[in-house]
Amino acid sequence: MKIIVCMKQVPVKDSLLKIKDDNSWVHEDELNYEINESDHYALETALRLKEAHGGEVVILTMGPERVKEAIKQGLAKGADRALYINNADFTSIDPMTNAKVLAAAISPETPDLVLAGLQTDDNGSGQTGVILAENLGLPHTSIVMEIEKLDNGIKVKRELESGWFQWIELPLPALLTIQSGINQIRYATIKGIMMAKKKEVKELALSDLGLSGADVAAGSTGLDFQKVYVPEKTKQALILEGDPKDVAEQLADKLKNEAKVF
Amino acid sequence: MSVDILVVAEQRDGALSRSTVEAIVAGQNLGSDLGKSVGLLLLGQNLSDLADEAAAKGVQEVLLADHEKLADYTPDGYSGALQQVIEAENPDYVLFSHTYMVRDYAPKLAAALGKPLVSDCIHYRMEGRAPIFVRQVFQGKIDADFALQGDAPYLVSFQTGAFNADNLKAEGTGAIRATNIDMDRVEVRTKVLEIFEGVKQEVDLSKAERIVSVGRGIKKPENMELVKELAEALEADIAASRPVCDDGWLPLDRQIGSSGQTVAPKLYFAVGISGAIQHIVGMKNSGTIVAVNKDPHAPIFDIADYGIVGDLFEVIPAVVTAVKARK
Amino acid sequence: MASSEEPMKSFTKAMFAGGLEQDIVFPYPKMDPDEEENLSMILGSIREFFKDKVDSAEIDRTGEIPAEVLDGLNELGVMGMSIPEEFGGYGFSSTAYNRVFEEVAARDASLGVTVGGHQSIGLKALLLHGTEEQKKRFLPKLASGEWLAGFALTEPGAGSDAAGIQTKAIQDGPDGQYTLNGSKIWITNGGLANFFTVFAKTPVGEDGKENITAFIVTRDMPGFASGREEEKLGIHGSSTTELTFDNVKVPQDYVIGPLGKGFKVAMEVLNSGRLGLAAGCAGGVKRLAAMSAEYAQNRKQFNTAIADFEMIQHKISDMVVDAFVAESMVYLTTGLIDRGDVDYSIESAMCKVFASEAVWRAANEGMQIAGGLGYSKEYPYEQTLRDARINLIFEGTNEVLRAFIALAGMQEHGEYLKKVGKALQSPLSAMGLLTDFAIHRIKGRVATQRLEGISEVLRAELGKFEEYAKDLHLVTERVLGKYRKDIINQEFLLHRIADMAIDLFGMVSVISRVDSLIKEKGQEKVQREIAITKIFCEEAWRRVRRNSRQIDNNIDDLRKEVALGTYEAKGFAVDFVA
Repeated sequence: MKIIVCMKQVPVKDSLLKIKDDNSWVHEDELNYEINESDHYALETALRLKEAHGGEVVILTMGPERVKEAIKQGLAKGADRALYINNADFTSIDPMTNAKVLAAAISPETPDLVLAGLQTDDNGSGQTGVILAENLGLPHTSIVMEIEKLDNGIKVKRELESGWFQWIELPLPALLTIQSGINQIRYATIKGIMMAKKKEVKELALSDLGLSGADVAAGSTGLDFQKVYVPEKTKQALILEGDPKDVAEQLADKLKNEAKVF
Repeated sequence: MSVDILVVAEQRDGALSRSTVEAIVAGQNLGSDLGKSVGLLLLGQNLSDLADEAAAKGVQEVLLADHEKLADYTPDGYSGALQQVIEAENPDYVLFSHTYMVRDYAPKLAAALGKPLVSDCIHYRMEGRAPIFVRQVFQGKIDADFALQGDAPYLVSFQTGAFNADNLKAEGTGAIRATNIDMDRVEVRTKVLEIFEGVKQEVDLSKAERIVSVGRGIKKPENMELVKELAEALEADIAASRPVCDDGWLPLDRQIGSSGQTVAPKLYFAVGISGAIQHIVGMKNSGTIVAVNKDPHAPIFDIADYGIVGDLFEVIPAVVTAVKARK
Repeated sequence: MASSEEPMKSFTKAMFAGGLEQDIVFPYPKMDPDEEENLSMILGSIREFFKDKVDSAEIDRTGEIPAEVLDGLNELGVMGMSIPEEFGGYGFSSTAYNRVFEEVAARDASLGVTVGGHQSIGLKALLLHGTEEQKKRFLPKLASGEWLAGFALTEPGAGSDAAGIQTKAIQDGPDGQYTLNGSKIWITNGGLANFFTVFAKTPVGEDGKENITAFIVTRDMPGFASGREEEKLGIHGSSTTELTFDNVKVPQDYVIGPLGKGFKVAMEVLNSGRLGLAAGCAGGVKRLAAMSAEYAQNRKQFNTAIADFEMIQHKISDMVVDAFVAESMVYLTTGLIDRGDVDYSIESAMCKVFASEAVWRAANEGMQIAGGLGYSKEYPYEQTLRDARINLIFEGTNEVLRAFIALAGMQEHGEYLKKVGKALQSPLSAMGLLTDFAIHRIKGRVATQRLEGISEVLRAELGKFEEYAKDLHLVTERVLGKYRKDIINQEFLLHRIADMAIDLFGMVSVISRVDSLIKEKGQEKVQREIAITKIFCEEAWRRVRRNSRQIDNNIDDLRKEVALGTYEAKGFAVDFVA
């Protein structure tokens, strides 16, 4: 089975985010990055499928130079090679644009399975994977928690709301978006890390994908991203101050006398 | 007749879901801001009973996409049917509630239509004649504004709870109209097998008066003792955010959030929970919310009534003592 | 310790003799960029693994490392880092190995000791002196972690005095087989390892004179047994046992290195092994500094975070300076190992003494900052304190190492003085000898007393280093002239001389590191590192000066009198009420 895993690098969880003065985005140069959580699970899923059924795992990622770190991590964990779209000349938070670029890179590879994380921890639109399926003409299932290989396709467990699940059968090739927690992510071993260097990372520019600047121009899909800002607080929490004993006393008073919850 | 704002309904147990009513409220608000009519689209099979219920929800028109291929939800079936309806009706806006089902097909539909989708919006505001849709990025820490350009229709999904279902204006009765969809043109490639409940919900937290809920900040399963003591002191039930249940430190049926239970107790005491959106949607309607967290920037403080920034391992034992002293 | 061959150059020995070998310590050694990139990823893996899987408090409580944790470390490849790739390992440089080791040891001391017992010392003799056949046979199993290794030198009657061991190997069996008898104590990994490097006395040569030889002993050999686990103050999860050898038959080809050269092998192993220990201690100081800073910022007293109090700030900055200096010394020295042509024996001993005392200070102050909570078992400080204590004792007590540092540093110089002394008694040949010595100095080392091309901002610190390096040389010359061979018994002086050398090596290590950082990143970007250098150097040169002044002007006689008086009184003789 040839599997392509779409991975994105996002700021480390709990990063202190500072918004740029012009509100165009957050300051990125002071941040540390990691593989988007659900993408990481998607990679692990791909590696396990390969271990069980053979085949090849190819990482696909897009971004500035720094994302090579994520690629190397993926290769160190056992992916066979990587496609890297250098987006130095454009950036987009529009899932439709991103899916267009990713689809152009995936098509010539004719994979059996495309895996993506459920959503990114930065933009969090949760759309890119599903749009990608439509662009590639593949059947898809999102929020997948388990995969079984069948003779002529796959059977997947999809998460529904409130603790409900559903089994779905799909023919291959197909696209799945993977939910965090589907498995346990492995650690990159020293062996894997040292072997990663020898693996192929194919760098692709927009022109290699048959795309031009116009194809990725901001707003070209009708989605007009305007600005980011710190949310106005709808509710002002009363932050209790003092040492632990103090705040505990204050809180207990408030809960008993103001909120009357006990 | 056709409608300007088309709300896509979702049913649960043969009735319209609460989140559908929220989406109608969103449609009504947007309709009144823009001076546009609102319609509701039902998809499924044998929809007549549901159509009557829908007609009473304060919409001008109820459209039906009734077909056996829509009896079970599939992304191909829903996206294919909706594409035909939207192309035929040509509304300005198509609104959804951002459910797990919508997440599964709306992006596909948008791509098929070649139209933009702003997903999981928390509200919108008018700037002149144009609505600006607001969604959260970076897991709820930052808001982002989006406008929509080009030719309509525009697709928008709203987060559960973004609009209050109680604000529905249910005046009048909408006309019911069947749409012409040609489902032979739609190839459904996925096959739905059984639907099942992952964990038997033995605990119904939705009835709980007080909940102590614990998140990643607890660090180790042994530390759960601390939370249990707090719960005992407050006579509260124990719940958790997803990571804690994923790690098996509490059973899955005690998970609060989009993939767990939705609760609204009198007291929600969040211990070491940072407050990712997925968690917040499950508890934000609670009466009094208390948050204890090390990170002063944790989004949980944005919805809390009382916040304590500090080391939970110091704070919680002190709270237990203080609460016991007041009983 | 000195080998009979052409001696390798040594920065510290040269410094004692009055020269500064700039090219040994400048520029600060830099890792191969590829290896550095791999290393930072490996550290990432280790951190994740520890965060998810290792509960250090639990290991302390149960006295056991869960199998899952050891298996996980094996899986990661931690047990084979220093073993060449051809034998199933990863061929890390000494710098890379020690940096990973630091991360492990700083996060859990028991695991650090287990991994270090295996790799820093347990299998090191095999690595350095094993035959191709021996390596093929054992290294793959050791690299994968299927087998752990242990290093068995210490005996009931021979701790720091390694030459005094009693375990005997007699070659009396078929095919040159040895029979091993005796016992070892305090053996790290004693209850876990399958492979031991065991040092035993063997009759060597025709006169039957006994000398130490290193042997491979495996757990499956009949007559081998490990005893019960020692109950220790700290590092509870590490296995420490007695080993006994009761007529253990050891094949002839299980001898490591030349027959009778075991002492040299053991010292070589310990010289490099000490660096792992030092690296682990440096990591411990870093961890304590971060932990204490966080605690101080969260802890409020008098309505203020205690971090705002200057007494706390003093403690935190001391920890950071100690950590930075220890790191600088350790990775300068591992760089010396990696370049391969430098004698690093004194430097590794200095790293061990400095870093082990630094981690003890940090554990002590960390607990002080945490106050009453720090004393409670609920918090990690008391475990850290208990775990840190062993570092001043094992792999050479700091006392033995100080004597070694001073004596080995003075050794070459002493040889020279001895000859000069003789020459002066027979003036006719004196000319020749003195000429030889002069030539030796010029040829053997570029004897400069000034270091060139160092960043201007570090000028004052460099000046103090140069001034007091020269002072060390003069002190050495003076005490050697005065005490000659008896210097070996002048431990009050040896202590001071060793401390002078350690401080001077610390100074040159940070100056070199920060000088390289300035040249790489620009002065603006390394202001904090420059500040650390200034703090350390300022305090270090004052200590060096004090030690130097006290060489001649001291109260050692009084100290001696009090100690001897106490021995004689067989008790505390100056009680308030007798």
